[in-house]
Amino acid sequence: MAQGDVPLEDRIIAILPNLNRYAYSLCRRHDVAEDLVQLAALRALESRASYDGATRIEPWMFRILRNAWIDMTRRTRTRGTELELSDAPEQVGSDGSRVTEARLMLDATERALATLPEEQREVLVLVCYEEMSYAETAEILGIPRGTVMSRLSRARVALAERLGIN
Amino acid sequence: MTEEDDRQDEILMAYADGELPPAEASALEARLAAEPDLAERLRLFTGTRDALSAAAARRAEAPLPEGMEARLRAAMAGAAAGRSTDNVVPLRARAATAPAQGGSAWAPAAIAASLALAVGLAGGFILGVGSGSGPTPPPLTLAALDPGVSDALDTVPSGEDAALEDGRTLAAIASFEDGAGAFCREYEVIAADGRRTVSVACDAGEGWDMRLALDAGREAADGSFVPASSLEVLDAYYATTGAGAPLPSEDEAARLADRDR
Repeated sequence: MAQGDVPLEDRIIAILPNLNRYAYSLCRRHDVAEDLVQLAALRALESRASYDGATRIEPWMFRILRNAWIDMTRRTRTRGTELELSDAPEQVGSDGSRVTEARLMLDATERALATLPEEQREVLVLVCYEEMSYAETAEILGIPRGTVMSRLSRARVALAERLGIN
Repeated sequence: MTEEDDRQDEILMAYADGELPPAEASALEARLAAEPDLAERLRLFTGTRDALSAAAARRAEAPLPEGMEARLRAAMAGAAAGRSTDNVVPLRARAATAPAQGGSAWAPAAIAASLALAVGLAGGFILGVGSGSGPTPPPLTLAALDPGVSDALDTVPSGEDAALEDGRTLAAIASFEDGAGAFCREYEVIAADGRRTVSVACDAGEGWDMRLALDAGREAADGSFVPASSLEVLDAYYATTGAGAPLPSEDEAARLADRDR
């Protein structure tokens, strides 16, 4: 079956682990990440006409997901309800995600990543975690490829310093 | 760091990431063989790449929350079948200890349902979002903002409140650019009786064009604010108009100063 014949719903489900991981990178909370993925999936179905079925689905979905996150946070940012996510210990169920998170925070690379400015962290996450190309990252963030490269290069230099590489 | 150094870093990084075109890559390889300093600098980019890939692999081991796939399938099926304003999607049971701020008060299915409402708004509209009790709200004039509101929008920074002369309060929420690049502000007007309206108005040269106004009900006794039901429409509005992220306060101040001229 050609890729174009696979229902969009199934293609979204197929990259669910990637979507969840990227959502978690943005919001740092498992419960919010799931809401965000669901919201992005529904928006994707609404705007399915904007998807070029011949291209990879990840960049298109990531862009929708990131925009959904911006919309989610727009109000809270100025209304005083913003959660200091790093300070808010997450309440999780019995799925072990708290353990996972604790392990992540012990990870030197994750900790170093968390200290970078948002602008740099988001290009690192897309290129190095989610394995998007420079061009795809530019499309997701809505910025020129050259800007992706300059941010990414500065981020790598800063990360190398923090990790003692070189 | 000179601009030239930056440029060189970007070339080395693109090489480490496999993003350099073949011709440029061969040219760089010739230089790398001859210049030890350059080769050492390259290790910064290959080293960070390796460290991040390893961290990403550790993250990938984390399992999806139990039942997440089934819930997402149900949500998508519900959106396709219903598109009703009822929340037909079995939203995931939340932890009993959900944040007191109501931080996760989003209802994706209902947002999808209300998208249809928000598409194609040319001028302005108002929607009463069933606040249940209370008298019928007074009619609002949409075409022209009253001068008090308009003046406040010209000056009040987001995050601050301003008392209007008639006893109402205007709370500036955020500024952003819409998809067409117009400077827009989201704000709330709180009447003396506590009834609140959430609005978006965009720069129209001389004044402000109201694009959206939502009856957000009354402020609850506990001081909690907008019920999620009215914000779904707001979210849908943002999603369909290509609104950008909130402007940082210095950018907002600059845009307001520009208007003043």
